[in-house]
Amino acid sequence: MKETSAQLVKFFQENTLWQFFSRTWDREEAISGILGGLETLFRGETIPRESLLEKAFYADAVVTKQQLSAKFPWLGTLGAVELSDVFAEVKAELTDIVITKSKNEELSAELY
Amino acid sequence: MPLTLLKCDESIPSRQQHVYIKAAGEDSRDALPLANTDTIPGTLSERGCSFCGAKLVIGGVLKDTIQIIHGPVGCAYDTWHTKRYPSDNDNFQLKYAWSTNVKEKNVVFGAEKLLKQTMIEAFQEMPDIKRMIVYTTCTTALIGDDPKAVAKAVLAELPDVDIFVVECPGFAGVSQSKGHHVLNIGWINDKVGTLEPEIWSDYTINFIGDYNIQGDTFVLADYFKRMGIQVIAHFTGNETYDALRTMHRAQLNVVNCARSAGYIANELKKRYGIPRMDIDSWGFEYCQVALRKIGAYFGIEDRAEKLIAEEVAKYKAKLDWYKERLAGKKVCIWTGGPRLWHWTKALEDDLGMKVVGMSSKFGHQEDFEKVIARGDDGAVYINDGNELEFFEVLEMVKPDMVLTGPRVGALVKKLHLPYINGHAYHNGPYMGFVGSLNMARDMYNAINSPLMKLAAIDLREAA
Repeated sequence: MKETSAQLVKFFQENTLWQFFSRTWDREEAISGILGGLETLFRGETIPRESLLEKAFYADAVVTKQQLSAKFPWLGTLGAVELSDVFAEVKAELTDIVITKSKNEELSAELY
Repeated sequence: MPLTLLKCDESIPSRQQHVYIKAAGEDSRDALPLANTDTIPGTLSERGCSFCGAKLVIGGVLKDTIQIIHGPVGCAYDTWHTKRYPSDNDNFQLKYAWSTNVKEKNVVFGAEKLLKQTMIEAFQEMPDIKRMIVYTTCTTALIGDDPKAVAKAVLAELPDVDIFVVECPGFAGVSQSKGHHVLNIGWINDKVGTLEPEIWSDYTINFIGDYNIQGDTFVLADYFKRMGIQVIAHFTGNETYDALRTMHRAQLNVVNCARSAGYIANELKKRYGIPRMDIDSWGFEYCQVALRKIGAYFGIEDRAEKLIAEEVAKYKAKLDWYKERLAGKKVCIWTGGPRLWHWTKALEDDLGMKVVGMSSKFGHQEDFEKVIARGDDGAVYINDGNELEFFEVLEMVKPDMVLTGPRVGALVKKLHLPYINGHAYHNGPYMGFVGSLNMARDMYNAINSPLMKLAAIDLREAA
């Protein structure tokens, strides 16, 4: 993993709670929704805010973008392809930590 | 470093699966303590019982509800006086405790008649109160009483009341965590959606997982009021029984204590499509992030920024005064579970303190994933810690103070270490901006009080 991506993973691990939602499907949904929204916002595009869930992803993404922009100004200099590469790496690593290789035995429980 | 066997645990080696010391570069893939598992024989647990998790933590907070505890009187006393959660109706819930006072003859002959008589008597004695929660305890669960059938019979006689039954005896699970679970799921199954709220704002939320310890809820309610947000239901600080029946009508679930109330947030999302937004309502920086996210959700960012600016202007300089004096001080956090991950980074970021040890009574592995992600290298992380482990860890990490409850606090005081009540607070509230300042003040006072040093002097030797 690139150093830039590792910095972002460390930030997400330390600062966000959505990656730790209760079950695998919750975590997958949040990681995809919020990281996807972040990448879109960094590309300068808008993300949909029609449904309540889209609004929730937007809220997390837009505030996290403010934090990331202040802490990692280099993010604002990346082109679309580079952004895509960075966020793909971050998504893969977060997924590995909190889902694929997570030792949390409750992640696959069928009921909440 | 892998999971660690403390010296005091050599005779109970399975405790190794519950103690972790984080090494540089490690994350929760490398090690994750076991949690929410049976307490190991041979270890003296600090845990509470499952009934307590339902009653003391969640249900008993409601400000307009009779809480019938169907069991021996001690179960009522032990879940009545140990939490300080006030209300804006003259603290009804703190003034009274209700018990069926089950005795040996009831164990032999059954206690359902006693329960029915007590429920009716309670409603008659308090004619203005029309809502009730009934809890089973170990005794009445074991003798096979059916409190739901009794509640049905009472409802037939008193049609203007509403009753919720929690069947969660103390032995139902490994800790108080089971009580949280049973109450959450029972409530959404039986009560959510049975009443419609009056909506007065375009922006509606449920605030989930805050119990108004020393007025936390009052602080948060003030913020939401200033932002024009209607809290449909606050689960359960300073809240009414009926408000919790209307949770299905909120547009967003804002979750603070994910451990005690994440279940109902998940179910509200699954059944009603209301998304879940987890936040930290403790911590000066965290609060700003939380309010910004809520503002962004509703498109009222300007209101969030105005509120944040006002609060920061009011409290930041005072907080910084404490930061100068608390920076570098070492802290242990020995509480229930979520406060480990809510507080560890907040204390470091807001006040420059160093959290060197954390122990959770009832956290699950999810809580340890969070705290290992947020916590420092070198810190000790313990699940269901016992007193000997606490002594050993204190010797190992040498904290300046400990955030914990009165029971462990009494132990810590014997070592002449200051403790701050991490459950019910010393001088709260601790949530929100003002709460961060209150917490900093209490920690500063604890660390700098001469009391502990004076207590260590043996006057016989001094003479």
